[in-house]
Amino acid sequence: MTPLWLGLVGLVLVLVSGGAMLGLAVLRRKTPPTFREIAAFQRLQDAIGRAVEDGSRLHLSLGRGGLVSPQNASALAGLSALRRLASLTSASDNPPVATAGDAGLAMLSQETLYSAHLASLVTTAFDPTTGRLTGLTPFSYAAGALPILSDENISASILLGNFGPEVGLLTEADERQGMFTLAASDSLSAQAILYASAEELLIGEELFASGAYLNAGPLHKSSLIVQDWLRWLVIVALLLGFVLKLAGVL
Amino acid sequence: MAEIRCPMCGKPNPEERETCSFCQARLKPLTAPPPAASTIRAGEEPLKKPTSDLERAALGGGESIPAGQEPTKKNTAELEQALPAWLRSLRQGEEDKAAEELAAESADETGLPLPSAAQPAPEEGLPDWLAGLGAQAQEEEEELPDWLAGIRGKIGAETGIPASEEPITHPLVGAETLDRLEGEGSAPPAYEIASGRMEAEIGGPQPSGGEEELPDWLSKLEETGPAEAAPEAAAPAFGESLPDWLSGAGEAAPAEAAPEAAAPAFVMGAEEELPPESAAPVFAMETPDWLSSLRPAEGQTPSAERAGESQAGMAEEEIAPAELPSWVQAMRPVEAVVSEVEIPTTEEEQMTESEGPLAGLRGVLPAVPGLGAVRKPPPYSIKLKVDEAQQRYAAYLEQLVKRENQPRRPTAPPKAGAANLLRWLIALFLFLVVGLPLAGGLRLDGVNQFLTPPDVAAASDVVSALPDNAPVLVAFDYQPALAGELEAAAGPLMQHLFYRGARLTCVSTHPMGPALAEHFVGRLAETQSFQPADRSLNLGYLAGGAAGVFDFLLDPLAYLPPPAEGVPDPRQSVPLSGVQELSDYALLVVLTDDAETGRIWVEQMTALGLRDEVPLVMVVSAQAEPMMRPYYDSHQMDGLVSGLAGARFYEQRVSLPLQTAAPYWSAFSLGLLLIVAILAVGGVWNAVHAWRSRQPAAEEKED
Amino acid sequence: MKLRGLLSTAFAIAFGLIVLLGYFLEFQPFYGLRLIFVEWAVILAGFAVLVGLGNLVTVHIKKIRAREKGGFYGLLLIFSLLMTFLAGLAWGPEHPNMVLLFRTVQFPVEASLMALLTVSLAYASVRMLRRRLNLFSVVFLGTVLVILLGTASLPLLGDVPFVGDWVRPFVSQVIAGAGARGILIGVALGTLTTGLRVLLGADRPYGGK
Repeated sequence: MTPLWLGLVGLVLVLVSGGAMLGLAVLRRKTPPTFREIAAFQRLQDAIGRAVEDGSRLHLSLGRGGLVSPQNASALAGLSALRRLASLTSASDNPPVATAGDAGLAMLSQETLYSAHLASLVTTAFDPTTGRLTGLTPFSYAAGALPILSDENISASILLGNFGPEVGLLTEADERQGMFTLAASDSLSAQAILYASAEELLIGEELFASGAYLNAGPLHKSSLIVQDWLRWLVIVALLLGFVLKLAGVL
Repeated sequence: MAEIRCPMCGKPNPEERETCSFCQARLKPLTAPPPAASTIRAGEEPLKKPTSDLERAALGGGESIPAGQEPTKKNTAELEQALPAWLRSLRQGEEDKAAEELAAESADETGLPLPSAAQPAPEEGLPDWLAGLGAQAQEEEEELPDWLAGIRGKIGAETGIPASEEPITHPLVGAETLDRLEGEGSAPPAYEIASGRMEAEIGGPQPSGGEEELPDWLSKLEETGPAEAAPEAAAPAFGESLPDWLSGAGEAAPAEAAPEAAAPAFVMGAEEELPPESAAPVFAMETPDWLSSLRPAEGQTPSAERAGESQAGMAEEEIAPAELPSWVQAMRPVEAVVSEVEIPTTEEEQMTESEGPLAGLRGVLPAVPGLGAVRKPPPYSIKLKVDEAQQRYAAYLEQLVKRENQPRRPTAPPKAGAANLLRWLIALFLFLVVGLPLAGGLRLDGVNQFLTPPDVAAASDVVSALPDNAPVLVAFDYQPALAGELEAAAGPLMQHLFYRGARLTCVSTHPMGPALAEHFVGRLAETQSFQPADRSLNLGYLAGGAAGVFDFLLDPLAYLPPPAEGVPDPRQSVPLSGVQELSDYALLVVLTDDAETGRIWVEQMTALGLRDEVPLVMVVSAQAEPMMRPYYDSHQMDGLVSGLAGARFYEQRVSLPLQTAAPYWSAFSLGLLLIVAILAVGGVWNAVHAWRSRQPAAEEKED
Repeated sequence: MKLRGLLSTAFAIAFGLIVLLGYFLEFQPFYGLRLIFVEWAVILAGFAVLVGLGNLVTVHIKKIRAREKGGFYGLLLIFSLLMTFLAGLAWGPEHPNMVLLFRTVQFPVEASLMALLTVSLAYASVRMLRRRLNLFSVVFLGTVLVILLGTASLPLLGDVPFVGDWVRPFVSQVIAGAGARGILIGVALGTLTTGLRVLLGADRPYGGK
């Protein structure tokens, strides 16, 4: 069992982080923070514009991170990006198509696309098949997504979520189709594969910055600032632990 | 007691005062208006008289007026006979509507109202002098447009023809101002204001200042025309109406200077220097002089006779204030404007002219808004004021424009044929190098020179330390695609467990895990000659990821289906014999290809405090080793076997009768070496290709 | 729709906070509520698999109806899915026939895809320097070569000395391990803030936005 004091420390840390996110979002609403430039997001925006112009579709793969697994955060980040992409491409005839390797995630992708559809005031009927479950195992999921990349006039493929080595199959298919690829995963093995195979890659926590860079909202931006604060906290804690270990205290 | 209204501040003053008691402006002009001569009565047809006659007369009989001599007053209204009929009809009010539109248009431009043509003007307020001036100006402007008037001085200097015979008014006093002053009802003629104030200031005619005292514009004109022909020609034309100081200056000034002073073109020039706030000069600039001269006659058209009488009377008596209706007075915008502006009241506060023909004179120009520059225009910084966002947007725009102008080098996509050929070649070589040793049972193993890694040794030690027939929980948390690696990596350890007589309970957090467990255990059972059902129990799939693991660790038997009749109760099976909770297991083995899954088991075991009760050993894919090793190093697990290499060490250490990892090792090593060769050669080749393709691009960029 | 969105958001935030409190404060009622809610979530996740399968079938039926490219494979997929589903219901997942089905269909297919990935990764690594020639790519490729050499043993010669027993462990366990730790800490922080965004209602993947 977790000691009470440790639980309280964790709870306070979480609550303070949440409060800081809210406070920053309110205080810096008029002067939004500026972040370092990530070329991948710039190219993504170009790709979105091209997709709207030429009437092609965007494909967003949410990975296979289950909602009740620790990898769900990457899936949620992917869903935020999906919501934003759907809004940005609402002027297009073809809404983006989302694929997932988890059933719950596929349902949420449908809900997200439906929300964007309602918000866009498009008069056409919503197509629930734009959010799809393509497989329940990693490789069956990748295999199920491959025909979408080749058959549905996809011009850009965005892979945001939890992947494994199977992501290499998706990026290879993207390359064969000559489409723009932006990939990010919280899995280290997937990042290693993506470094070699993806056109644009987000490393580590850059996956969670996608909402902020796509202007999904002030809380996305403030969460990045809080992430930086927490990172400094971790660095200090690591250094402190190192010193205490050297001193023989720990 | 009669009152006279100050033309400057508009305040009433006693009739006998010569200067305003409020602003010290002169109330009575020092020069008398030109006497009235023969005028044209209403309805009479004026005689058309070509102005060329006048010009000839001026040219022939012109006499210069020496400095200090009073010029002879001349009523220019006699020239009205030369007016065209349509202009006269204008004056007679036959075109009231047109005049009204004109007034409205002018008012729109300046923001100041003009007296309506339809509005009855009091007789005493009728500026007859303007009628004469208007007639004169009309005549001249009909023949000479403004631009010609502007250059007329130059011509006059050469030919002796005067540019104008009208009295000099202040160059900044435009038609709008005149109209407004007229609207006051008591405003004296503008030229009287100007000349009167000037004379009040200087006390007499202005002596010749010499050439060095000439204003710039006069100096420039002097350069453009010969000076020697001018004096005699220009002076007579001005003799009638020139103020003394100008008459005197006329002798010394360049010939064309004096005529140009009255030319409309210079009014424009002077006004161009005015600040933009001054609306009246702008109006004056945009309104031709002939229109300005017409304005006084636009009201109730007076007869020429009345105008002449009135004009004559002005020399002897003051102009009585106009009796405007109260509602008209209430609408006077000039009052509102004047009241808001601080008008200098003392002599020291009044503005001293610094340039132009009025240089050195104080209080010459009225400081009424619209009559001159009363303040300097506010200084505007030439520095562009842009904020950071605007700068950023500008930078974006600049980049965008630059990018659009730059020819893009199309990134050559890999040729599909070549790419596919390369893929096929890689696949073929791998198939041959890996498949042939496996198929032929080829063993090319060299000597294993390295010691068994401590994590592998620790795992084998944990299994060796198990009691006989100990219950062991095994989690099959890998996907079918990696079953080949995991089954090879976990083979020695699992064989060791069976060898030790362990009873296995299998679970999985992957949907395909139960099937994988059946497959794996079934293969091992074939080699070990035992029935899987006797030694293992498959509990199936644990849904819920970390939450499912947490719940399972809390109560493993809760996942079993409830006992039912006719179905053997798994709780009574051999593998679960003596197992009530997790701590009853002797060992937990996790087979996983994913570091995240392995982390879940470690963390949940630690969170529930089971780490000290149940040893934990993991068999992981080689891809998960870097992430899982720290858990072993930090003693959060008791043993680690990673990949085929770890299985090979395990096999060598335990000396099992059936080797499951070694047959793969030769093929695996050969495959790795082939990949190394492909990457090395292909990497160098593509690096050179990329470097060479960069060169032209870099050269283009330098160019 | 608006009311539904409000209710969804309110439920999501409330349940999320209770589970969070139950995780940090392991006493009643938070702890018990947390366990109950997590169990509900697990049941819902299991049921979601069925809904997801329905989605899969719908997509392929639509493809068949529209006579799109690959419609035949869609028909094959639906047929296989139904047969496997019925067989699983009839025999159970541990029946030898079901295991045989797995061993002869699922296992080889997925293993083949993994083998295919080997070729794809080798090709991608070869092409990487052409697509992105910079220092990091060179270091990346060099590290790959070192690890592969350190893992394999030379035919008839055995393990590669120095590379296998010193360089590979140092790179994989120290350098790569440290880098992996750093990345994972960053991912964990991102996970925290992402979860907080959901708790604060900024991210609402359940709709209502």
